Amino acid sequence: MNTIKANTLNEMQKLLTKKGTKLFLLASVLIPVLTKILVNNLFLTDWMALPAENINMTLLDLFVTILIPLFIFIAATDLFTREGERGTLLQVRPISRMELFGSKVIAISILSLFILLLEWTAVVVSSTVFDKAFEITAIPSSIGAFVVSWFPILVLTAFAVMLALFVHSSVLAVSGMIVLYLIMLFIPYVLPGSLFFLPTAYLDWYMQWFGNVSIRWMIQTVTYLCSSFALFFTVGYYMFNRKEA
Amino acid sequence: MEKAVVITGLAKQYSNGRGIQNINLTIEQGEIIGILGPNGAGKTTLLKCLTGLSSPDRGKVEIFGVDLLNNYKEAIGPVGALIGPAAAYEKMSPYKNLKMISRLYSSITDSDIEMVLQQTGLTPYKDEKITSFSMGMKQRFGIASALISKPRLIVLDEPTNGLDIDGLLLLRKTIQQISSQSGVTFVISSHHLSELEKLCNRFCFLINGAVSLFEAGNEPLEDVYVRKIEVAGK
Repeated sequence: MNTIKANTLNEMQKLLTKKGTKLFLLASVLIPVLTKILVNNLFLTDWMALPAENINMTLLDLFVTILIPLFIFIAATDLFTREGERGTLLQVRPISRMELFGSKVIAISILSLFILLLEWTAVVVSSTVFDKAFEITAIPSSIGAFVVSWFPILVLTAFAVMLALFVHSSVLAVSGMIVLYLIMLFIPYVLPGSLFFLPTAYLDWYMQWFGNVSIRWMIQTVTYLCSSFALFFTVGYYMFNRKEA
Repeated sequence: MEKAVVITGLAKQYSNGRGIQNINLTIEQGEIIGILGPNGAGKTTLLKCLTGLSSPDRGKVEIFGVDLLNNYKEAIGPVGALIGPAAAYEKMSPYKNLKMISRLYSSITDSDIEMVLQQTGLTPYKDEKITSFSMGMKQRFGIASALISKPRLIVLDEPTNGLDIDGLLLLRKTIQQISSQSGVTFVISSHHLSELEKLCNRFCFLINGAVSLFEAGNEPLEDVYVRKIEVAGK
């Protein structure tokens, strides 16, 4: 088996063995279903009722800005800082440092996409069952929004991995990431100009794909996301390559 | 005879001043070489540099003719190692841990996993989580993970740590069996001189970061060791 593929499977298996990961997967199914049941059973008057599309986007927002970043922080800490603490980060195996680093990043990215897709499936199924106003024609745009929102999540993954390699304590790593993330979410309210220099800048990227999308905007944002990912990935790999057992 | 390891001018210095300096060492295929020395002499540093876990400041390591620093993946392919505490994912069973390792090699089958579990006496516990293991059991798992890829060179750093008498006898028997049947080279570091004396045919004494080599002879290893320590002024 290809080494990167083999080790990606290993890293995913390690993450899937953890109770925390199972909890995130469960939440990605339960939260949409419970929200739909709750909304469906509330005695709302017509003027209070929310369109199904709005609820679905609010759910996506909750996952993209809170649950998935939290999963990424915990997973990056587990696969890098925690393994460093336990002495399992570097082993005598026929896999290069780049392949080892890359496969860990890929494993976190695949699982975050899996959480997103699981949530999308739960949203669509629960909408079909509970939401009388839900139209099948809304499915392509909703899957588009879910898939598009994965790209800024990749930047956040590379950022979290880089941070995880700077610290030697897993408790410090995960708490530091959460505090830094909250600061990055709130800084733009104080300094609006800083928004486009933060790794969290395009977490609501999917929202911006609705309506008129200009080619210039598309090139700008894609370039920003790609260069941010490359920067964090490179610094992360540099730190990882310097590690010694 | 093919050379299993050729170490030339190897040096690694830590910020506390400890480390190894200008190590030159050649190990022939099929040899069982014991690494001896007091605490802080640089035994683990030497083994880490030999297995690519640490980068040396200077020098060269060749494993079966392949340069470790320039071609890590190819050089480390035929190496199995246990350095430091056994690296295991404790929420998984030994079987699952070994299954994960097997994905990185093309030739490991399920029956190889069963065989190595049997060799290390872990078969009755193969489905238990490693979290519940004692230190000795974890050490047995570490030895199993070093043997699983059927390596041509096995590097063991303090493999007897935490092992009970039963585990110690099993380890000795396994090393002797693998060595005689497959001509595997062993590099073993240990403070258990009596154990090394029973296994090794050559010794590498490490003190103050430098090595001196000697063959197994009639004189008890402990006497040789004490004399060398006295000569080094420790």
